[in-house]
Order: sequence, then C-alpha cells, then structure tokens
Amino acid sequence: MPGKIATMKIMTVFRLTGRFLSLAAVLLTISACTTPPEDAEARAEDDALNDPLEPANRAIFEFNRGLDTVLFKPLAKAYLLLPDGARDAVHNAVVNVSGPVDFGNALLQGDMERAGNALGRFLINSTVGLGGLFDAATTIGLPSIEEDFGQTLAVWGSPSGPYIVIPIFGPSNPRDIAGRVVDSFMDPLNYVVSDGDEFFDTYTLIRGGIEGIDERSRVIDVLDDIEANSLDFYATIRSLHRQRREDQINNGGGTSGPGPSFMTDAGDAMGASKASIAQ
Amino acid sequence: MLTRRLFLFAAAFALSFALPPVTVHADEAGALAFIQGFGDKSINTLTEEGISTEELRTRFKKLYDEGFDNSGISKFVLGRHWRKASPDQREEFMTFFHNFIVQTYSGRFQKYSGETFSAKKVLSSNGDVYIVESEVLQPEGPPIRIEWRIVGANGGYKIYDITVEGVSMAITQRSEFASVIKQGGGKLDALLDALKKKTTELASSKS
Repeated sequence: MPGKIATMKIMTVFRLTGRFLSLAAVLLTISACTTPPEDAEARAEDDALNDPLEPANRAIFEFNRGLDTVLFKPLAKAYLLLPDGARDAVHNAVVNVSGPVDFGNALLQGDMERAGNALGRFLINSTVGLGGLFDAATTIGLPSIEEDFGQTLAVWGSPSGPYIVIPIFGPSNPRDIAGRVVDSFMDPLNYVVSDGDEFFDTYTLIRGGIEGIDERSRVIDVLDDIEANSLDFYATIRSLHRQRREDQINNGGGTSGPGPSFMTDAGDAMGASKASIAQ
Repeated sequence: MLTRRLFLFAAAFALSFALPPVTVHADEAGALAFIQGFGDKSINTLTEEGISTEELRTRFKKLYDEGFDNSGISKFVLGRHWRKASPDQREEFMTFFHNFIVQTYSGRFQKYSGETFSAKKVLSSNGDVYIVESEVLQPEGPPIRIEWRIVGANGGYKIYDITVEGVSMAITQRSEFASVIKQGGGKLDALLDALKKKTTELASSKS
C-alpha cells in the first residue's frame, strides 16, 4: 500500500516535469523562430571570421598602405636596382641568421627531423656558405625550414586569437605577436652581437630593416597584382595571410583547404558539378 | 528450431569474414592522369613566350571552361547568399565571376616560362571527389605545391578548387566576396556592382 502511493507520487512528478519540459521546448522554439535566420547566420559568420577589431584593423591597414607607398615600396624598388647576386647573398644571410630560432622552435615542437635539418642548414651555410651568403645547404638537398614561436604555440594547441593588423608589420594575431616577442629573447644572435644593455640596439634595428627591405622587394609584383585585382584588398590579405600561416604551421603537410563546413556545401557544389558534367 | 536458426546465422556470420571485403576502388589513376594532362596543357599554352595579353586571356578562358566547374565554384563562393539570391542574380553572379576569374588569373601567367608540371599523387578520395597533389618545377627556386580538388569519373572530371602553397582559390574568393557583401550592408547587389565595376576596369586597363 505505501509502495503504491509512493509510486503514484513519483508518477505525478514525472508527468508534471514532462509537461514543464514540453512547454519550455515550445517556448524556446518560438523564441528561436522570432530571431530572423538572417541575423543568426550573419552572426555565425562573424564569429567564424574572428575579426572583432575590423574597423580598427582596416584603419591600421590603410595607414600601413600609406606608409608603404611613401617609404617602404620606394626603398624596396631602389633596392631592386642592386645586382641579383648581391641581393641573393643578402637574402641568404637573412634566412641563415634565423637558423638558431628555426632550430629551437622545431625542437620545441618535437619535430626532430626538421630540427636536424635546421641545424644542418645553419652550420653548413655559416661555414661553407661563408657566413650565410651562399645557400650551400639547399644545393646538397636540405629543405628550407622556417619556424617561429608563434608556430610552436600553434603546434602546442594555442588558437590564434582574433585577427590584428599591427602598424608597419601588418597582419598578425595575439598568439603570433607573443611568438615574436619570445623569439627575440630566444635568439642567441641578439645577445652575441648586442652593443650594450639596451635590447633594441643598433644590431636589432639594422637587421630588422634589412629583413624588411629584403622581404618587401621580393613581393612587390605579387602584392601589386593582388591589390589591382581585389574588390576588398583588406579582406583578401586577411584571408591570404591566415591560409599561408596555417600552411606554415602544418609545414605544408595538411590537406589544407575547405574546412568541415565545406563538405555540406560540397554536396551542393558536387550536385552542380555533376549536372555540368552531364551537360 | 531456434538452435538451428542460430547455427545458420553463426555460419553466415563466420563466412562473411572469410570472404574478401568488397571495396569500391575509386578511380585514383584516372584522376591523376586527368590532372597531369590538364597541368601539362596549361603550362604549354599559358607560358608560351611572346603571346599577347588578349591571346593569353583567350587561352586561359578555354582552359578554365574546359576544366573548371564554374557554376559549382560560384555556388560555393557565394556561400549562404546563394540560397537567397534570385535566379537572375545567380545567373548574373556566375557570369561576372567567370569574367572576373578569367581576367584576374590569366594575367598571372605572363611572367612564367620554362616550368614543368608533375601530378604526384592522390591525397584522398571520397566517392568521386579527389584531392590531387602536384608540383610545378621552376627553373629557379623551390617547387610550387598545388592541390587540385576535382569531382568526376571515367575521364569526365571537373575542378572545383585549386590550392597553391596552402592558399585555396575558392576560399580566398569566398572570404573576399563575403566581406564585400557585408561592407555593402549585407546586400548581394553590392557584390554584383563591385564585380561589374572591377571587370570593366580590368578589361579597359589591360588592352
């Protein structure tokens, strides 16, 4: 008898809970419907884009463009007047000088093969390659290794964080910015060649300047082309930067490209493809 | 009775392990051959020395129409805006997009010459969707990695994306166009206008 009463009480509780949950479900559905899908989709797109600072970023992007037009590009173009051989030697030296950082970061990522290659490159090019001016390492088949602490953080699982455009340096994100800082402390050459207690000394500035001009001069035509053909140069650079960065982090290995969401779209795309093949 | 049924079932079950698994062999060799052929043809026709910009554009257009799935790519590139677009808008977009691609990408081949193309392997295949990895070997400098995403079978393939050194054409365009639409207040017409303007601008400046 007490058992039956207890059971009845439990059943009543279940029934009431069930009714409450159904009511809650109905209310939630209604509220979900009242939000126009348009906005929810747009919001989802914004979240995935991860550029909450877009207005500020666009402003800095324009500032960088202006600075580039009046200063960096003319310098890079003047630099291009120097003979190929000289500029190649400079480029090789610039690449070689970051050898220790490439090696250190490959090691931190646990990639022994790449670490070995980076070390080999640095040693060979510094000696046989006469202080890095000649890229003997590539000639004997060692692949080029470019690693930095931003990539290391990514390999360790750190997300990139929102898109940030830095004055002068351009596209980046919180993780990569932290990476740059760590690299500058990690680079032994910053300590060996320093001329005093100040951290940003003559060496760092000169090296940074040469790296900048070398890099800028190598991409003049490519960037001009992208700019001329863009509907939204800022958005294009944002996309290109992020894809290139992902590729760098994966060391060119990941089958990069459309993420998971593409597969749903791919179904549509394939449907369209099949139709067009049939035609 | 039950025991007998059980025995038969067990026997069938055991037998299924003895038989070789039936696998559908995707046509990977076909996909690889298609890309090698297409890549070779592209390099031969597009990097020929001394051809005019107009001729280059014509040749590129022919290759693009032959190998790429413009309507499929258009649909992907427009993303969520495709669904809400009217048939006229869709038609307009596909036309503008086609012209935009021909104009912007054809010019980029002008400075190449002496390259060789090598389709290396099929990275993954899923039904009739393939990702083919290839390399363009330059006279100077490291090889350029290119991945082709194609769909099809038995020689009838269509390319729906190409990724160069990790950068996907479809993703880049989609990202850019989404931004144009957003900057234009969420209206697809903002993109259509911008595309029309840009293609007109490019057509007149490159002649």
